Amino acid sequence: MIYRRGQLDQIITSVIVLFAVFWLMVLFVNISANIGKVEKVISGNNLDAEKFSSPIKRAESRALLDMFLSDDIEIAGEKVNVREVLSALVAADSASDKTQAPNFAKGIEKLFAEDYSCNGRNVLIVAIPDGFTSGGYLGKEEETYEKVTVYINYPVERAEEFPRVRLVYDAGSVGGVYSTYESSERDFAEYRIDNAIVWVRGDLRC
Amino acid sequence: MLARKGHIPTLLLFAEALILILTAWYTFFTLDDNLGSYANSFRIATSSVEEDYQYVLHIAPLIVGRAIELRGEGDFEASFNASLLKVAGEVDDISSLRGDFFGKIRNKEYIIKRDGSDYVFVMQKVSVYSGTSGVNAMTRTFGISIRFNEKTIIAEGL
Repeated sequence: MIYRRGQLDQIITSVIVLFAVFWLMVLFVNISANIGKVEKVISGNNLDAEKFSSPIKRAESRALLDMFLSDDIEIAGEKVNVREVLSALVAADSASDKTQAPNFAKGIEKLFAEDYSCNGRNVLIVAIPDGFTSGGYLGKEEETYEKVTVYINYPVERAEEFPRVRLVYDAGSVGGVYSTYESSERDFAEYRIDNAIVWVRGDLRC
Repeated sequence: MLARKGHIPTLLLFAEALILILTAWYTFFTLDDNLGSYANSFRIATSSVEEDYQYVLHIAPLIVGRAIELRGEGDFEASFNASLLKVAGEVDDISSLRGDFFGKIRNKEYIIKRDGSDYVFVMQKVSVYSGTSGVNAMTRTFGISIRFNEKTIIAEGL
């Protein structure tokens, strides 16, 4: 009889324990579901980052730009590397009154228009980050010399419009604007012409 | 006395269940909440490899095309090889590619196959890799094949 009562006690206790464990698990699931809400924040950050992740377009731009920069133009009967001419253009831009494109920019425009613009679908962009060459925004955002667009000292607020520029800006040791982004070789590699960032934008491949 | 002994396994069951639940909670609460940054480093590595892979696919025909255009007189294959070496060297000076495509051209690790009046440029086991190191390092290996004649590119592929 005592043995039977012992079994009954165990059954009752087991039911109580199972009940307690069940409610603990319900509590556990409830808390886990609340933790899961953090995922939405992470997802939102990823969406922000997506505008920088177009590897095919960036690759096309890089390929076209590398071919262009390694090409030559003729100035006063001499063949000069485009990269060197662009360096001179950037240097002249930061020094001049910015009202006219230097004469030697015409050779770059012509070469780009004829061989790389794919009938005007691609645009060469030379961007000089705000504050880097002259210490501030000069109030002149953009000058377009036919196919070559030079963005001069655009303000930081406009960085959203230039995803690749923003990437360089984010590399604190380059632009000095944000210091949290981890600098990488890639960021520096995109920083091609002295203090200017140069890339090709458009449909790219002809 | 016997009834008291009967409770011991039940109490142990309860205690074990509690330990399991508390362990699971502890795991959840101590889990690094910085998952976004890990995902971001993976995304950057994957994107970087894909970008360099696409870059090689795009620049290879452009380089071959320029090499055809700038080649000198005389034997086509010899002048093409010399021109290819020069053009690839110029682009390599500028390029930020993380891979061995330009090195393979420099070391002549490619073949030019004659196919009728056409030629086929074949480079095997070209690698591109991510800049990250350790467990997140990624490498992609692929081949390039570009068909061309003495004037222009005809077709390109893997």
